[in-house]
This record gives sequence, structure tokens and C-alpha cells, in this order.
Amino acid sequence: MLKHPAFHIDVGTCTGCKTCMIACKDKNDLADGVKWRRVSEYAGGGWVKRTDGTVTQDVFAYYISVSCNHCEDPICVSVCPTTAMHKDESGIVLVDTTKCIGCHYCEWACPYRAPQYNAAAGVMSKCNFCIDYQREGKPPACVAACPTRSLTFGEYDDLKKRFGESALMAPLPDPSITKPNLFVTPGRTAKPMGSGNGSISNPEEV
Amino acid sequence: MVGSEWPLVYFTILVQMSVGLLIVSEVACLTGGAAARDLLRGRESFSFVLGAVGLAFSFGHLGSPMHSPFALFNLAHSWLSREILCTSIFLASLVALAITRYTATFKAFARPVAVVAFVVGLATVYVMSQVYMIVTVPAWNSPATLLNFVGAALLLGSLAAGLLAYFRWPGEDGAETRTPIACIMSLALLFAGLGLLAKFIEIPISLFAGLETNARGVSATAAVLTDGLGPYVLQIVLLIVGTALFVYVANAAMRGNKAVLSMVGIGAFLITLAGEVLGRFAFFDMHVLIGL
Repeated sequence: MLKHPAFHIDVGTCTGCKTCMIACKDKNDLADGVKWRRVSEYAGGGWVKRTDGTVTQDVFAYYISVSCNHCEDPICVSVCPTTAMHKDESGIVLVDTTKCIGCHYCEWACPYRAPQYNAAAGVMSKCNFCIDYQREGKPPACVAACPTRSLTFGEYDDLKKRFGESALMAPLPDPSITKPNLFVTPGRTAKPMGSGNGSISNPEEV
Repeated sequence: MVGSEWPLVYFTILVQMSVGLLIVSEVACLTGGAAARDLLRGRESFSFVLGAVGLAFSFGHLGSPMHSPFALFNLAHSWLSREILCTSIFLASLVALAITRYTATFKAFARPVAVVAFVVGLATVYVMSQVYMIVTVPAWNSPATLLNFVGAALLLGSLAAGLLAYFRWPGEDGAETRTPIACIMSLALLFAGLGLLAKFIEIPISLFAGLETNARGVSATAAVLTDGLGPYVLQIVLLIVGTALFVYVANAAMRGNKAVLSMVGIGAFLITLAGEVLGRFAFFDMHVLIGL
């Protein structure tokens, strides 16, 4: 079991195939509409005037796969009135369903939309970093399923040494709000955080 | 979130009205003397019923209401825990106020209990606003949320207090009843005016705060001013019409005239309440998260 687990996503190699989403849904037997991992397609661009007076396009699209980032300063944990949303000893953010009142407050606050409502049980649910797999020494289902090896996981410090500081990239929110345990390597067309020249083009999927 | 948060719409409005009724009626009783207290007798009980019905509505929002005792477990960090605690203490203080006022044994405690209820009521409205001032929801995370809730408390509380006194008032011509009703109505008009002013300051601030477009290309302001424009404009019209009708009723009462105005008074209250309900639905529709 890792002491301080974190995710890494290489946006440059992610093809947006959503195998990670499906693997997560399958492994956790998630209900219709509940997605602990979501792959957003961020797209945009337009016409750009060149120095010779002609115009060209700068359209772009890339994918970013995000689940719960088990943040260092998780807003879902601080707003939760019951303490059902909590961090365990290794920093994994979990829901104690015997305490959760299903008030949706965590869902309202998380900028990654990680907490998802389980309507059948009347409580919130979320990515648990495949804690059971990790205890067996196996990688999380999403990481194991990724065909391009764009998703990885590991000790926070090891990932930091390997991939460097996380990129501040659109459409991710300002990491200073929750301090996510997520490292992002941007692709060739990645836009800086808050650039506002694109939008998530598959909102119905995420 | 369109319509899905209706339990919270009624919870927040009823609790705010309950606080407003207590504030306006207690101030009116302090200034209006024994006759005003008689016209507003049972005010704490009305306030309690409003708050208790509001609190009952809040359970409709929960997926697992049986777990609700756990909701007080995170008072150190969660404004929602604090909101539930404050609302519960407020309601308990109203019960205590009714007991101390209407039982001879505890009458001496009525005034300190009233002060506690007054202060906790104000705290409840403040804490309620903090629940929604979430850093990741720009349209809510502005002073407009506090102004909205304070405005609702003062406006609806004034109308409720004014009408309570108005229906108790026998309408007889004479200084002994005209003076207290005039005192209550003038205070109700003052607080209703302040409440309406808060609403009109709040509306542009909240629209400005909600201008930011998130990564999904959604802006809270654009949402309420496009699909929600009709109800949004209607709430403003209803608040103005309802308050104007109340001004008419209050002025008539201050002149000692009670004839034919009861239905107008009820109409003023219901129209203003409808405006608040529409406005609160619009408030919940302005929940637009930053980020993904």
C-alpha cells in the first residue's frame, strides 16, 4: 500500500478512448450516470490572422481523464457536515456511507466533480483509488486498463521526480484551491489554465 | 439544478421569514409598548411554526435522512453543520421564549431568552449565507448571497409581522389601538423597505459575480438571463407589486382604516412570497462550478 498515492496523466498521449472510465464503472459496478472517472474533451480555436494578411485556423482538441484527485486540502472533506467524507491514513479520500446524509454539499463544492450521488443508496460515492486492489499490490483499474499508458499512479514524491511539477492547464481549476494529488503532463496543443479559448465539448458524457 | 433543490428553496425562505418575523415583531414590541405586544401576541409561536416547517422541508433534500444526527459532526469546518446547529438553537430558543412568556414561573427569564433568540436568529441567517458562499461557485461566493438572505428575512418578516398585527387589530377608531398599529406598521414599512433595498443591491452584484464562464462554457448569469429570464423578471415584478400593496395596507392601517383591506394584505404577502420563491429558484439555478 502506498503511503501518499497520486495520479499522473499524460495529456499528450491520451487518445480519449475512455477505457479508463469503462474499467472504473465495471470494477466498481457503478450505476447509470455515476462516473467516478470522467474523460473530458477540451476543444476550441478559431481563425488566426497571419502576418501576410491571410488567415489560418488554430483549432485544437485534447482529452483529460480525471477522477478524484485525493486532494491534500479536499474541499469535499471540509464542507461535509457529517465527517462521512474523510481522508484515511494514506491520504485517500473516502465516503463513510454509514454516516453520509446524501446532502450533495460535497458535489456542489468539488471543482473536479468527484463526489457522485448514488441515488439507489441515498448517499454520495466516489473514487476510492481502488484501495482493495492496492492492498493486493495491483494498480487501480483505470491505470491498468489504459491502452496508451497515459495514466499512471504511484508515490507522490516518485511521480514528482519522474514527471516534474504538474502543468497548470485548461480546463483544470486552480490547484491552489484543493491541492490535488495529480500530475499533468501537457500535450502539444495544451492551453494554459484559465485561457478561456476552449470548452468541454462532451459535457453530457462527464 | 433547475427545480431539483425545491426543499432547500422552502427551507431557506421559511427559516429566513421566521427570523425576520421575530426581529421585526420584537423591535415593534419594544417601541410600541403593551398594546403593540398585545397585537403581536403569539409572535414567537408563529415564528417557530415557520421555522419548524422550513426545517422539515430540509429533510426532503437528504438522501439518507435517518443519518441526519451525524450532520452536527463537523462544526469545526462545515458551515452546513453550523447552519443546522444554529437553526436548531433558534427553534429551541423560540420554544423557550413561548414557555417563559406564557408561564408565570419562568416569566423573569423571558427578556434574556428573547435576546438569545434574536441574536441566534441573526446568526442563523449569516451562517445560512456562508453555506452557499463556496469558493468554487463564483455566482454564490459574493456578498450578494448574504444580502439576498437578509433581504428575504426583513421583507417577508415585516409583511408577516405587519399582517399578524393587522388581523389582530380590531379596526376601531381610537388612539389606544391606532397608536400601536401605526407604530408596528411604520416599523414594518421601514424593515420591508430595507429588505427590498437589500434585494435590489443584491441582484446586480449576483449577476456580476455569475458572469464567469466555466470550462463547460456555462455562465450562471447567462443561464438565468436566457432560459430563466421570464421567471427572473417576474420575481422582481412580484416583489415590487407585493411590497407596494403592503405599503397601501400599512398606510390605510396607520390612518385607522381597516375596511376591505384584509384580502389586499393577504394578497401582498402571497405575491411577495411568490417573488421570493421564484428568486430563490433562480439562486439555486446559478450554481455553476468552476473547473471540470
